[in-house]
Amino acid sequence: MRAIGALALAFARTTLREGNTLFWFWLFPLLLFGLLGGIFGRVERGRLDLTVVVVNLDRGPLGWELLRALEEAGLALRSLVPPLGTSAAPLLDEARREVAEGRAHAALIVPEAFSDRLLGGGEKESLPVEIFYRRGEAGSSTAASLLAEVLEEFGCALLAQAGLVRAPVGLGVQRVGGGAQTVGYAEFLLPGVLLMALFVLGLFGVPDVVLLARETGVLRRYFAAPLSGGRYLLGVGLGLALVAAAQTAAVWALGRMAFGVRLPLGRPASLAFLLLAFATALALGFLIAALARNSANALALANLLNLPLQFLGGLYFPLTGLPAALRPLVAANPLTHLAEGWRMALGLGTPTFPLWLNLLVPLLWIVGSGALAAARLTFLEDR
Amino acid sequence: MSGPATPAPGLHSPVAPILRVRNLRKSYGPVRAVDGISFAVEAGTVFSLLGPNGAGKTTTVEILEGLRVPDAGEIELFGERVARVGPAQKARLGVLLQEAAFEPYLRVREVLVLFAAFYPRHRPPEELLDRVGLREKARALVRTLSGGQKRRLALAVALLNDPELLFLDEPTTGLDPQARRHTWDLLLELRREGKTVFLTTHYMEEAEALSDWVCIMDHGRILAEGSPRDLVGRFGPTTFVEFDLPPASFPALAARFPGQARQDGERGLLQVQDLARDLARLLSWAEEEGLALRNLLVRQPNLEDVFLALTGRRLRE
Repeated sequence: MRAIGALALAFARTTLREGNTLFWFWLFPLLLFGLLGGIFGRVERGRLDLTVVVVNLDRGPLGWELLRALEEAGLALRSLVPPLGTSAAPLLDEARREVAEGRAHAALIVPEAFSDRLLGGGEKESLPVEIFYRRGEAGSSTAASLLAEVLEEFGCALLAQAGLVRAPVGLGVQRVGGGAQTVGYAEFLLPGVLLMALFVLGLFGVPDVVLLARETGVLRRYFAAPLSGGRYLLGVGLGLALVAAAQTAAVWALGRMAFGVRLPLGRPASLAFLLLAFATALALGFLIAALARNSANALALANLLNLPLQFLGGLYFPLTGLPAALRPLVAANPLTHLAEGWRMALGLGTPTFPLWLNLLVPLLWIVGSGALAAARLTFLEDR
Repeated sequence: MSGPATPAPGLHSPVAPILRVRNLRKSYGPVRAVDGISFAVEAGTVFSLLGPNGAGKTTTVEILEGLRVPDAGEIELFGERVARVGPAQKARLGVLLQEAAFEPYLRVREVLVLFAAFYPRHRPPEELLDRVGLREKARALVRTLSGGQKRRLALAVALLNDPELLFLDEPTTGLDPQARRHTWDLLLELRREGKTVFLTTHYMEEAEALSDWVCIMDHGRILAEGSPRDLVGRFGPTTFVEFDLPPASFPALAARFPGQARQDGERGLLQVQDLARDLARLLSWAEEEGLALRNLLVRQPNLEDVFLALTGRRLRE
């Protein structure tokens, strides 16, 4: 394990020190996302393009404090205020309709006596602050995530520290519809750019590191030590995983800061597709390393594979406009399924393939490429 | 000079040597790189495999380092017979390959830390940096090192696991005289510490100066072996006289000294038994021919002469 960790660290270090890898593995994904997102996506300056309907039934100060915190977070609020002495029920129905029919991204219901119960401490059970949103719609999911986040900060950070809160702020989240797909381009693009970065890392990084090390005699020296081929490959794989994790974090941070993208990358289904994509990229990289005679040959092979995979994988633009003749290629492309599966897991867009196919096609590529690479990859050059 | 090779110490000895090889063979297609060689290496000695480029030295040593699988033959390493050298043996071996290849964008100390992770136990990297004189380069990237510095780093890596048997494949090739001298000193120091060193070289003076036992190898076969003194001693009380000689004058020299004269490029070479008499004859012949015999040198035979006598070629041809 020590050898695997040391190899991984060595690999990650060299990618940061070598000009080519520094650009292609670290900077290029950020530049591409910034460029395409800047041209085609919405660029907000301090304000998100997310509308939230608020029904504030609280008569105390904390309800208004909460709304102020939401505005500071960049949400556009539209308040529905109940006339004095009337029932709140029609307003709640209206808020649900606003969200369900797509006129607002989400709705927030602040309950009656919100301030009194938080400050008074009479009852210890949580106060249900309700959020309505539409599942399967990126803007709505983002607004709901943002509302939940602000509420958490509001409840925990601001008031608990001051010692004012006597009861926890509870959260009730309800779905009120879905299906209408109005995904922002930056949201659509972010998983695509991350997949591109993973595939560049796998297709170019693996052959580059393995074949150059073989050609220059670095591998010969490694294997003169008690290091097995399996541990070497695990070390390279872990090194690539470190770089991939850092890349993902950097692109995600850029998306959040520059474009207000708040995709739930940490969801289990999203992480599963991320891992599947990494494994596919790695398997294809090892396949190229096994098939290529040398590193120059590997570069040509990687380019030959990378361009069609990316452009027929719907990474940057939807595939709806592609000619019918290209559909079999699209269907066989692991990136198509990884991109679609991952976007579905993030609540973006509508599926064109069933989930099982989005899992099966990349898995077949992993098994096929991995088996072929295992049979053909040699670490030492014969003289 | 031809005839059966002297048995290596340990090949038939009751005491098990640290390494014993019998009838080792390796071919690349039709080329027999190693053609049935046998030898043994005693612990605590410097053993040299001497031969020209392409003799099969590197293939032999790479089989013994576990980088190649032999086609046939027996290997007994650390008292254990093995089909091929595996991780358990590698952990006890030090290896200096012919090319000092490391990741160019790692720092010198990082290379040592990386290799240290491959071994179950290792010496502190700083100690090795001091030993090979690279302490001040600890933070330098490998790509910025000179060829000699890379060789020194390779030597530090070879010593990292405190090996019992150290393989050094052409350790001084490409080094300047000072660096070569430094490497020789280090090897002699290792021998004093009781390490066993397996050296391959095409420098006869290196094999002669450092080795306890030398195997002379050519075309995949061992032609002769013995201690340097024994090998050279096969010439008997012979002295060599060398001098500048235009090739056109060689036939006349050969006619005057039948069976004793050789041409070696722009140099003439006489193998003499009675130095005073033959030197006088040579000077007299030169005067008759009007030759100056510049750069005249009288010397004892060496391993180069042994190789020349065995193969008719020089080591570095």
